[in-house]
Amino acid sequence: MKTTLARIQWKNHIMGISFFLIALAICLLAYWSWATSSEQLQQTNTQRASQQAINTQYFNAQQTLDTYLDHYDGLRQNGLIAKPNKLDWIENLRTITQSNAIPRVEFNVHKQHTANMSNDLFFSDNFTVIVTPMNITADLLHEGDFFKLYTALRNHAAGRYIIRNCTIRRVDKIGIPKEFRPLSSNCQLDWYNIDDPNASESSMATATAEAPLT
Amino acid sequence: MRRILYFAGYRLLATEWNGKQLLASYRFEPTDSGFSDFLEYLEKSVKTPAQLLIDIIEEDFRREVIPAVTGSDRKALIDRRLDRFYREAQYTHVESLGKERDKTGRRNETLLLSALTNIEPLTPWLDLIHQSNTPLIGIWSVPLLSRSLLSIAPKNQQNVLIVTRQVVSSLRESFFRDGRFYFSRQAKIPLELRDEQDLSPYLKNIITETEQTYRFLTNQRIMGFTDTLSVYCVLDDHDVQTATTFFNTLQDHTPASNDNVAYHVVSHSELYQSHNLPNLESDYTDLFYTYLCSRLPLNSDHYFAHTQSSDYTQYMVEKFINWGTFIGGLGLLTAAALLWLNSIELDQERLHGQEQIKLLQQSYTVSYEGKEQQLDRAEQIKSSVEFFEHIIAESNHAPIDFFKSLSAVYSNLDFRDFWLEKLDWQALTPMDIQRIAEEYKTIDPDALKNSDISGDDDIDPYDDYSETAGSSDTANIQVAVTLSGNFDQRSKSYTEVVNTVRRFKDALADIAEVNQVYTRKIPVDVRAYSMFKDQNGNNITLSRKLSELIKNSDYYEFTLILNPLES
Repeated sequence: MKTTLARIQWKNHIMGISFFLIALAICLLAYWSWATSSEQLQQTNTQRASQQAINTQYFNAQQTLDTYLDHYDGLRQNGLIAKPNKLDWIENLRTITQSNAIPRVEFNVHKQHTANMSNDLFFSDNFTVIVTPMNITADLLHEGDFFKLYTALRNHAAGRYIIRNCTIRRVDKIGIPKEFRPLSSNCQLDWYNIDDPNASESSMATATAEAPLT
Repeated sequence: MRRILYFAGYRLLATEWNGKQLLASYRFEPTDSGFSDFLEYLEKSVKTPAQLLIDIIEEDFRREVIPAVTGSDRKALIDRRLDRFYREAQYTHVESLGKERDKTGRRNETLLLSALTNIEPLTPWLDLIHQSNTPLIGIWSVPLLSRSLLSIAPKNQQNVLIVTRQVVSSLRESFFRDGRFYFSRQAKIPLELRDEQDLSPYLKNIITETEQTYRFLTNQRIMGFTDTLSVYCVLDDHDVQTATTFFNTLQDHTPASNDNVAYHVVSHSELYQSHNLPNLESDYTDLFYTYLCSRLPLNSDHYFAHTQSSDYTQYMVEKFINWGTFIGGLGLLTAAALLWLNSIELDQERLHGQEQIKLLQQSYTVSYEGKEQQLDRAEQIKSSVEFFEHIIAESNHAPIDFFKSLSAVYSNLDFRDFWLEKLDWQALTPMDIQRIAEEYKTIDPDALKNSDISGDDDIDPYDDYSETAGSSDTANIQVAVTLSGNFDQRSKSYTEVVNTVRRFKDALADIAEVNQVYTRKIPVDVRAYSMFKDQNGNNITLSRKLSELIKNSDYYEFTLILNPLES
């Protein structure tokens, strides 16, 4: 093989080898140009996908706002998304008691706390839920008083409660027939509020969503 | 194109073949001018490798039988034979004629050994070929190629002798037995017969030479004395008729010893047709042999020499460099063009993408710029609304809404003896519900072993706890309502009490909102065991005698698990 290579007349192949080398150089140049274009296109595609994702995200967010913002503002105005309005609750309780001639209603509002999984029926990881426990002890003439008391409280108070537990029992009174014995009730209510420091800004976002460009 | 240089011992014939087409043929005499012409031909013609085809009298054939072995043993045996018979020969060839067992049962292989014993007449031609840098691929032998002519004889003939004439001065006789080549010999034609117009002396000469061959074959025991030798004489088309008549006449009037030799005449045209070859302009079969040689693979040469191989290798390497650089260069240029075209396409795509980015950015500016803070809170707003929708729905789940359904049961005349003293309402998580179900299990080990805790709407309140335990798989908040009071069982038998309590429990279970009813205390409780928690959460295990249970039987207590709101 060595002899064969040594005997080759390389000068006869100068043209061919030169042609090959020039072609190789042109090909390398073309590859470099192609690689650059390819990389630039990839960057452009990434940038476009990123911008598209942002537009889509905000389009969806706008649609969500269009759907929920009115509800949200309603909840805010009704005092659900707000700090606990204890004064309103007890004011309503007194008004209801007086207007319905309920013999006795006593209440005790406990210290509010942030809802958590172990103690409360409802909680959220996305926002701060404030729970305000309240005890209401009431003497009632009959079941109707109980109905009136809690229905009115539910409808008029600025907030929402869940009756956590409640005991209604007949009160023994000497001389009163079994059928006419009054009732006493002792209920624990959990008032729920969401503490949203940005609540006042929410209503600003009222623009209508437009379909994102794709 | 294939270049075949045919040498028959004196002059040299150069032919150029392209498939079945003879492009050119040149004859060169072994004179100074002939050598000069040959060199000029080689130097000025297209540079292409040449195949040398020889038909010389100095080619010797031997048949040798060796034990049937393989590998290095076989090679050693062959080398020994070649060394013994052709020690001085530069060009030798070996091929196998097949393997068979001898009388003793030993398996042997028959070899055909051949050699060019004298290449002196060839030397000046080889020198010129080398001088002109014409790559010589190899040397082929006419006798060994003659097996291609065997197709003119029927296959069932055992002993075939093919007689051809390639040059004016000699005949070539090639013998085949059972379709295998055995040997070949060249016979000189006497000078006075070479240019003779009358064919008869030439044909007689063929008979004479054939007779010699026949005697040789029988003496050598290659064929038996009674075996027939079929002789096929290849002759020019215009000699066929004469030759056929001659041989027919001969067979009718020959001595008995020649009965075993049968002559057949084959014309050049028949030979060419058997190979789909057009007629060739030659009185002899020399051109036909060069055609046969041109159809063979380049690596099938019979006589190999390193010097020739080196020339040819160099030729092939240079050819590879030529074509490699050309095709490689073209390939690279094509690749470059494709890459450039693709680059242009990619650039256009990039520009289009950039325009799209601009549009997207404009859309973003118009629709969302400055509102990011509010929009970022959209999911939180949605979650808040959904949270309160859930709370509002659950807040409707209150004692006041359950009173109506409960009143319908208690106001039923059948249950007038049940008096409700106390109602406990508790909103519970699924975990709390599960706890209640667990508390309600029996503590009877046998009962625990034999039953799973399962819900059952048709549970008899007087069954043991193990059979009345239930569970809820709801994931939402559920409410447990505990009803307790007294049952007036005066003037009632135990059976009547039991039946009424059963109906009362069924009525409670039938309330639409109720998912499960647990019997905690009932009048005339005959259940074996029970386990509840007291007000402080401590377990209380009751194991009472039946009389004790019956004595304190006015009090009842049921726990109702209501359906979650969604269901």
